[in-house]
Amino acid sequence: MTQTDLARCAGCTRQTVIMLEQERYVPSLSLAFDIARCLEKTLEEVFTPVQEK
Amino acid sequence: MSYARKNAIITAAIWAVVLIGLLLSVLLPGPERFVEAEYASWRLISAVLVLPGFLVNAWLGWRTKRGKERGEMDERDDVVARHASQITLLAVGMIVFLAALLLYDVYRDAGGVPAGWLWLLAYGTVAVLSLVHAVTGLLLDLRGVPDA
Repeated sequence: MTQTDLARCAGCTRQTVIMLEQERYVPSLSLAFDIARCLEKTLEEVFTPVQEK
Repeated sequence: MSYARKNAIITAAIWAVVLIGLLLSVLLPGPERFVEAEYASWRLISAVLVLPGFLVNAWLGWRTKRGKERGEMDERDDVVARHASQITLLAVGMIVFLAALLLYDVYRDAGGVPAGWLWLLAYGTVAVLSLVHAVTGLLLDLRGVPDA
């Protein structure tokens, strides 16, 4: 699945997908669920919580 | 280039031109002479200069709405705009504070500040506000906003 395909499926922009891949954006819960659904994975498989430094 | 970045670049460009125009319209006659009757047309031009900026802002507001409807802008653009607004508020507040303090320091012995400077401070604040918001938004968009 390309970034464009994922963006289209999740209803966000390709720029947002790029930022998510680079860990430069934390998505809303709604978008996170949409992305997991598009990738046919669970939320935990796609996203891992960032530990506070 | 993304839709939001284009918006930010257009906004920054138009308000940079407006700010330069404002500076020239006050500084060329001089802040002391700017309020004199013979420079009434300069004051009018200076005030009208802000108008294209507001027109572009209105057009970009409509463009943003259309971009969201078409899916060319999303929640991240809203987050970037929100962060940019917070930074802009603080930055412009500081700029105005420092500019007012500088004017006070320069003119305190004279007992008053030339009205031209106050005109520039008032109209300049409007231009700087939009310019800083656009540039901050652009930088945040490029750098990324880690926390939603």
